[in-house]
Amino acid sequence: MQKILIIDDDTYICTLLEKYLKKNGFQVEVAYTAKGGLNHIKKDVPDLVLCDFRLPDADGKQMLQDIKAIQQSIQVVFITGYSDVRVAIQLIKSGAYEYVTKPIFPEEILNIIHKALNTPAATALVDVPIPTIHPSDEKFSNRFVNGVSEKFKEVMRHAVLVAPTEMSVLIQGETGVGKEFIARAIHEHSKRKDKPFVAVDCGAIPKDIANSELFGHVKGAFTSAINNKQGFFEIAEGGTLFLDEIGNLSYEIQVKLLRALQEKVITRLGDNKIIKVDVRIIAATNEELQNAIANASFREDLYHRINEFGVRMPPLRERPDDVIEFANYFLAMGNKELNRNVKGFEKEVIEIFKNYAWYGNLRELKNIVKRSVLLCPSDYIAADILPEEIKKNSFITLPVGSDNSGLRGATIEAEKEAILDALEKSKFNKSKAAELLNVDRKTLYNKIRQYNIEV
Amino acid sequence: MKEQFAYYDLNPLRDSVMNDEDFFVLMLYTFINNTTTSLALLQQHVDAKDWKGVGEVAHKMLSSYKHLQIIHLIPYLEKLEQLIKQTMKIEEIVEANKLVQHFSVIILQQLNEMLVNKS
Repeated sequence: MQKILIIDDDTYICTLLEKYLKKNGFQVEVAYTAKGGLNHIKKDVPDLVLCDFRLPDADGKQMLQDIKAIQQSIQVVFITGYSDVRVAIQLIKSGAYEYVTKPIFPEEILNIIHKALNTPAATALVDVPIPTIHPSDEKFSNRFVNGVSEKFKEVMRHAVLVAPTEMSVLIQGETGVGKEFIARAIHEHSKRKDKPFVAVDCGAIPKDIANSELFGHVKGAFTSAINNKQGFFEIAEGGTLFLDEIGNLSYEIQVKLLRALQEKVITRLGDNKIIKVDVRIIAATNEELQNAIANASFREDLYHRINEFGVRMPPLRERPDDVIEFANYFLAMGNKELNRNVKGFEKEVIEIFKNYAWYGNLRELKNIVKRSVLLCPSDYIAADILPEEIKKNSFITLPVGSDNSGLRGATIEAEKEAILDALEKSKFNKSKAAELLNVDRKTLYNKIRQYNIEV
Repeated sequence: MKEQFAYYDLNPLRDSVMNDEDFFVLMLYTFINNTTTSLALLQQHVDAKDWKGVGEVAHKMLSSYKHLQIIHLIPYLEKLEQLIKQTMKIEEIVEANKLVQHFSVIILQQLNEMLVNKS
């Protein structure tokens, strides 16, 4: 029987999930603190941990590190409030399997658990088949959907333009915008298309094994090196190596990477033998590497070497036309996975989607659409099944005045007042006001417009 | 038979418990016990002007309030939850706490009555 550990200080959630999952054939244990949960894992390793993002004695980031330090193969799913979604998405880049937002729908969690337990844990790179696309694989174009917006098309034009050259490419964009998709597109349009495409998430490789993972090792290089091992550079020979979240590589690895790029040679860990490599590098980052250069955590020479051609993938909120295209794609995926037959979205939902900020980009959209498919009682997804946070933060002009009484009116008034207060305190400097309100500038602008606040 | 009440909606809970009446009752008792404790704690933190404490209790209460669709009180709990990260006018905190306390007590009474009638 597969074992699940729930770590949450909320007894309501624990009771609900414990009983529900037991009814569905799992062995379930519960811990109410981070410390209790970790002690439990040390004694009896579960297959999956369902963990609250905010525990009284630790946050999600710390918990992920601690759980993976005990046993990398444990799948971790986080339970979050909507305000933590952005951070939760970052955690997926660091090896968490998935996140679910409150309110909890046990059926949704069960679905994720089944999928997670059939997938090898992300950070256990040493045990996971190399994420490579070979020419014999299904064409990537059949597995991904293209955007339809002008901005997306422009990025694709750049990708196709640079593809046949040997230039290294740096793709910048927020987490979840589809940077790997662009990297694959470049590879598919290049002369290397019949050779491997190897995608490596540098953020998910533990620092102490990054050297061995990228450049390989020889038997005896370290205690557990019982055989010679090829690194990703050798595996990608003749093809393309996609280094996602390159800003996470340590300084030591950056030096070795620079040498590989400049001299086209590598050495395996524990060996002096020089190996020639012919690999095109496409790197990606979700941060401003310029800042990392300024604080000396990223080498400037390496930055220039990987950034012979720069591509910026705009976030989803800058290309609302793509939102619907992708929403339809995820709807079809959701129908297939959940065995449903939802036909589409009501007009109001489409407007809400187009006007929501999607800070988690495609992953957030995918999760929302999938959850909506699960909850949809009719043929079309209606606004009432969307999370409140999506409706509340979607900047469709509210029918202010039409329903301004009671609690709702009080909420609107309170929000207006808070905005006015912050604007006054910041002497109408919108950046500062946004900071005071703990929202970004775009959100503030939209709220100002929504409430007709004169500034 | 599905219940419909003005302050909450038990249908999502009914769906979650897979028609197991004992499970349903257990969840309602869990909610009542937790909420009774949380309301007392919330008031204590407000009285002590421990705003971070207020935010943390509100954050914890939100999960079950969302699950039981207590939609009128969710905005107030969300407002109080923000105290974990930012400050707010004391009058706003007091007002939000007052509403949460007042309506939550009514909800707890209704649920208790429902459970008594069931037994």
